[in-house]
Order: sequence, then structure tokens, then C-alpha cells
Amino acid sequence: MQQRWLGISRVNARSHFIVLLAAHLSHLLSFDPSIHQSIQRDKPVLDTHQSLSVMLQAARRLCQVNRVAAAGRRLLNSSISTTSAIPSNDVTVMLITRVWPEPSASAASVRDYSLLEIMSNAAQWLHDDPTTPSENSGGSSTNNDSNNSGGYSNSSSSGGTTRLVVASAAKDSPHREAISTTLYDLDTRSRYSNQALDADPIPRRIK
Amino acid sequence: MMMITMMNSNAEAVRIEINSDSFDQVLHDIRPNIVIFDQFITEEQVR
Repeated sequence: MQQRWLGISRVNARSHFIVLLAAHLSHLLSFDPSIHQSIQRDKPVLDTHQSLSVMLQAARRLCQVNRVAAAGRRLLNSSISTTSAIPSNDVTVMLITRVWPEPSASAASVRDYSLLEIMSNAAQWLHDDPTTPSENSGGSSTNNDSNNSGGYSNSSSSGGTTRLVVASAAKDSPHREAISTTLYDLDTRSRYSNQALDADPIPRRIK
Repeated sequence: MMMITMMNSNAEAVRIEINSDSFDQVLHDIRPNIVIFDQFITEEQVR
């Protein structure tokens, strides 16, 4: 069985809430020259799972991932965990970012492409996760198959679907810069919160 | 430079407001399994 290093902590296998910190792409690229060289050669940035692993390695070097992950978990758990998890193979990956191209944009940058790759790999990891419920109850998946126009697959070998959602403020919105403030607040709040959450060991080998 | 068209990415773009209760509703609607932040927090503090 394939083994992967994952610098994240499982929150709840039932609810599947996992929060990752993706190190800033500029940091990520500077940490691993091979990634930069790969981009320069116009080859795919990273292999399957590799980008997630490298991203988390970079985050670990910056010694922040555990603290931020705990903060993010609280944000999500406070909003969602009161709802019961629906067993399903469907996976939704959400990216919160300050800047994202408008839907009408003709092309994406290396940064955008890399973030999509990270999202796709994270979804695939969850699909492959042996603790993911094997039964697909149908449930209340909100995946929109009609938007499957190629590029990134929204199905998996496990039979579930993958939904990638990018959340950002509108281009002219004053909230755009405020996203940074919110993330800073989360980080600050985490220092006074549950020590047990913050003490989760990373990385953790998951089979 | 690697380029892809955003229209072929299959990624849905959602506009959000920060420090707003509407974001809670967004999370409820999307019900994400994984959330990824693309910013390194300390960098934000010193920028």
C-alpha cells in the first residue's frame, strides 16, 4: 500500500475536515529548485501527490502549519461540525485565496496552475484515504457535472466525484486585502486556544 | 511558462466577503472536506 508523508493532522475521520496550510507559492518554489526547473522546462509542475507533499514540507520548514491548521479547524468546526457528516465518496476541496483570475480569463499563471494542482492532489489523497467511507450514499452532493469541461477530472477510481471551489474576494472589493487580516486573526486566536489541538504531531505517516 | 485556460479548470469560483456572517453560509453550502489557504501567515504579518 502506498505510503505518503502528510504534514497535517486528522480532525475527524467521520466529518473529513482537514485543513491545510499551503505555503505561499513563492516560498514553495524557492525551497525546491527542482520545482522551479520543472516549470522552466514547461513540464507538469509536479507528479500526483508530490505537490501536496512538497507544499507541506515547505510549510513545516516555516514552522507554522500546525498552528494555522488548528486555527482553521476551529473556524470550520464552529461553522459546520454541528451538521452530521454524510457518508459519501464525493470530495470537495476549497481554496481561500486573495487573488484568482476571473472566469473569463483566458489563461492562468504558474501560481494558479500550481494551486489547482495542489487542490486536485489533495482531493485525490482524500479519495485514496482508507478511512474514507466506502459507501456512496448519494447524499446531498452538490457537484455540478455539467461543468466538467476537461482539464481536471471530477471523478475518481473510488467512484466519488471531486469538486474544486476557489473562494476569493471580487477584484474591486475592499475585502480582497481583508482576507489577509482574517487569516492573521485566525493565527492570533489560535495562540489562546485548545492546546491539545495545537499539539497534534506532524508529520504523520498515513498508510 | 505553463498556462492553462481557467474555463477548462473545472474549478468553481466563489466570491466571498471577509469578516461577514455570509462566509459561514458559504461554508455551509460548500461543505468542504479540505480547505487550503494559499498565504503564509507570518509573511502577512511582516509585509
